[in-house]
Amino acid sequence: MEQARWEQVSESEYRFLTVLWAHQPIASSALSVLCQERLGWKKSTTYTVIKRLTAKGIVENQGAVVRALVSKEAVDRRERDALVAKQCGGSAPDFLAAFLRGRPLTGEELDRVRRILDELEQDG
Amino acid sequence: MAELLLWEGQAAALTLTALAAGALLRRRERRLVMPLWWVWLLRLLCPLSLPLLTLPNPPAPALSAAGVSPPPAVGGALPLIWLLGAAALLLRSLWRRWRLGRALRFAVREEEGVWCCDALAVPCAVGLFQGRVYIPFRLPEEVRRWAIRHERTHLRRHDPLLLLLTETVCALHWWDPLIWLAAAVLRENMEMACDELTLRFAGGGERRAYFEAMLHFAAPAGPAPCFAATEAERRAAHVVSLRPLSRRAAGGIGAVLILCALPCFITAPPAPVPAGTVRFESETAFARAVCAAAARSDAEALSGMVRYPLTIRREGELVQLEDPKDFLLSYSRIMGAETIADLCAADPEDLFHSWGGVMIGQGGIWFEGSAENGFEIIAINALK
Repeated sequence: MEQARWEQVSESEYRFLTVLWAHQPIASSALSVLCQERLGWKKSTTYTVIKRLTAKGIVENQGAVVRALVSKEAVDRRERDALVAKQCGGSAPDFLAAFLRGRPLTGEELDRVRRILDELEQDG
Repeated sequence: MAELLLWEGQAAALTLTALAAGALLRRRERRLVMPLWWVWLLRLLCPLSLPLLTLPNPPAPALSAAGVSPPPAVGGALPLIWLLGAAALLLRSLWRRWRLGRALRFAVREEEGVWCCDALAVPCAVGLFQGRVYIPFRLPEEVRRWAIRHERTHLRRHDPLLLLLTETVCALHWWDPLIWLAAAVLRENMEMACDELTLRFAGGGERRAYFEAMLHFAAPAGPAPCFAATEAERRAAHVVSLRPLSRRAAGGIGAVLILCALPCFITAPPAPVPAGTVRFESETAFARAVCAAAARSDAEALSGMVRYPLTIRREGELVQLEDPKDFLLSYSRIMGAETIADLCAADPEDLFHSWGGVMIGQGGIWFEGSAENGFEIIAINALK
């Protein structure tokens, strides 16, 4: 049953849990202040995440005191076993200044770019 | 209408200048074209022109020569269609940004100005003034470094603001395909400029590392044959073939481009106001004067309110009136009893507007103009 929960924890939530594990049990208001310092989150964001994780059964919020229901060791173990990080790529919308926009490239197109880059190395 | 076309025409001229500049600067620095694009945006966002130079007056338009009623109500629907299109696009713009804001809520701060986020697949620079760099989690160190540098360059150059203005321009001029084409070119120029600046002091090996980092985000897709060069190819090819210009040459080229852009701020000439014309402060005032003159059969007054030559149709024949004298001679034939009755019954406050002009009453008289430049009757129709 624990296994099923991990697939649903995003990296942001994991960072939140890191803060929580170091300070639990902790009042939710104090937790939101900590999240502001460590993660840069607004209060409302912290409360939203607490609500989400409570719904998933990963965290407990009793009388405004927050506690994690799973241990750091269990999650770390799972992280190491996890599959390769999800694919980076796909298009960024055109209203953003992104590193690379446009659709994912085919293998052939990647080769073409690499051949152009080989010239770069020759120039030194 | 004429002003609108002039406006679009100026934008088209600027676009072509920017495209030409891009082509000429093929192996040189594309970032020199960017100030021209800012001018392009300014021109398109601002419907007014600086009166640096006014064109000579065009010959009197043929509109009044037709003598038939100006175009029907369809002309009046065009502004509404434009407004709906523009509003829809602007709303979509706002919505996309709002949605992005929601997704970026859970981003975690890694260092000053750099935030990591699950929702993004590609690093982005977000924020108009106090911008932030957003990158995905768990990037390899090299990739992370170059991504942050690239995005920081975007922020320094105010590229998010540039993109927002571009979106606004596209929304306001949505019906002009040249604008959309220009916007695409603008975005590519912007990226190339960013590449150039980020790699300004980088050697060959570092440049390679930069593009490898970029390709990290170009995950392979399925087999989809495409013969056009992809964005990554174009940007890599540009950097590879880049021969930097000296500072003075760059400054010179920049100045030339701006000079080329100046003609696009020429205003349309104001319509000439004939000597001795009485100025009316509003359309209603003019309409009232026309109706009053018709009611008391003041041919003299009406003859002074007409734009010549005036072609009118009366009982199936076309009559051309060259000047007030002609008007006075033909007055009884021009202003029939029905026309006069219509004018007397017309409400000067209730004027119908279309592309052709302003109509009084049921269409016996059409006029156009403005308080600054004066009003003139452009058509007189016999009403049955």
